[in-house]
Amino acid sequence: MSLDKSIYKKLSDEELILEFQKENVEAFSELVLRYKDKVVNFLYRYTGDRDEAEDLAQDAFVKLYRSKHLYKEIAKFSTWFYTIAINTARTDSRKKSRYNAMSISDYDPENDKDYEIPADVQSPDEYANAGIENYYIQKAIDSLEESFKQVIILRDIEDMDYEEIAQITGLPLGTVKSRINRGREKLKKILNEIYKA
Amino acid sequence: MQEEEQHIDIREKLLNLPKVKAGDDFVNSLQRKINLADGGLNQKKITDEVKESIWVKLFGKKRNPWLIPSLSLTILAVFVVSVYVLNSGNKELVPTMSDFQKKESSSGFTPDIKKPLEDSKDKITNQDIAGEFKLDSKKSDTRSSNVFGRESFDLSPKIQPIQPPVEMERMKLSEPMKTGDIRDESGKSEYKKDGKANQDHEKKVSEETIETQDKSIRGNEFEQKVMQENNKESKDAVESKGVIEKKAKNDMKRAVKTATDSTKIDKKALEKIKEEIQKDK
Repeated sequence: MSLDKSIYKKLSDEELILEFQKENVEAFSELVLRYKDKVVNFLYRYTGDRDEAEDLAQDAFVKLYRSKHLYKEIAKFSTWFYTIAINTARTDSRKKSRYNAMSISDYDPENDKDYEIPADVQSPDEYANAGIENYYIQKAIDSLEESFKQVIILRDIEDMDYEEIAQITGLPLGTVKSRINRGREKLKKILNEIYKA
Repeated sequence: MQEEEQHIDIREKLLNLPKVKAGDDFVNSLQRKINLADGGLNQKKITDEVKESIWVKLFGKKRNPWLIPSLSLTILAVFVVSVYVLNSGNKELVPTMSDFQKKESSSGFTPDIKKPLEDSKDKITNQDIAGEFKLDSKKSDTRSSNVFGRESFDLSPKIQPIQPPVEMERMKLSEPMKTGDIRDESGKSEYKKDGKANQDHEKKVSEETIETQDKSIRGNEFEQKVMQENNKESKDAVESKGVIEKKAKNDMKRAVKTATDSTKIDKKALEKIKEEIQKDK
């Protein structure tokens, strides 16, 4: 027996996934409605490409759909789902790195290296509504190393607490804190370099 | 908290970034992807069922009881056929008297030879003759079997007589002499010293091999003659039953003797060679 649609909106994420484990597809569609924007935003900041972010978000939802039985009540649903999303993005970026040799992840302003624009970064016109500053911030995030990028996005964009980030990334709490700190410093340096230029 | 205060400006900038929302078509395309994934899963399930079906039918809970006896019967049938085929192959290698008679009839001469043999009370059983022949074939070289195995008695040059084992041994003995890597105390090779002896030995060996080949050729000629006589005799066999049987026996014995004689000569030659080698040493 499936519950009434209005009832699903009152249920928590954990209750919804448990309902979905009982083959109630309505619970899954409620979870999609709740998380689609959050995940797309997170993946957009992670990849720097909206279409790619949507694709990856859909892949993450497909994974959730297929492996719903793997969820256990021990963890928060959001933590579990963000882990799926990050892993999806990581595997995708690994696949792409094999084909696309151009990278700015090794950017170090202390060295005399020129700032390289990634091959798939969008033009400033596409960011007209968001503003030029947002465009440069996104560029700076893209130039960060992956280990710094994911913790910065989770903490400063998705506004997650340290414990949750530690659970998602599988890193110790201290490592998460230090990485966030170092990531912010790097981001600041990159932005200063961009503004100077 | 202090760390966050240090970089509060960056944090504020990142928090104030505009939130990107999913497109309107997001749910529809997600539905499509899920359907595709479901299709893939269903296909996998179907293929798994097909893969498992044979074993499950045989040994699983839902096994069909009639499959085990039918499978065992087919395996038994295959085994019997294979054994029969293998045995039939062995028969061809060792020809019997009946094969000989069949080949004679197929070659075109004395088609009426079978009737008197079949009618005769004292007819020679195939087993007896085959038994004798088998013993002889083991003793002598394979030429003896060829004599009776040939369809037509044409001794064309294509059929080469197989070298007797004595010759093979001679070849083995002559090999190290050729290489001649024997060294004396001073380290110099003794090949040159023993060169003449080796040459003499090789000459002897070659002469002996020629002799044995001549003998084998003579044996073949003798066999030809025997076969020709057989032809003549078989024509007369219509007239008298007993004469044919006796002649057939005599022919067999002669052929066997020639085969055994050839091996005896070879043994003598081998002994001679061995003696010569011992003398050389």
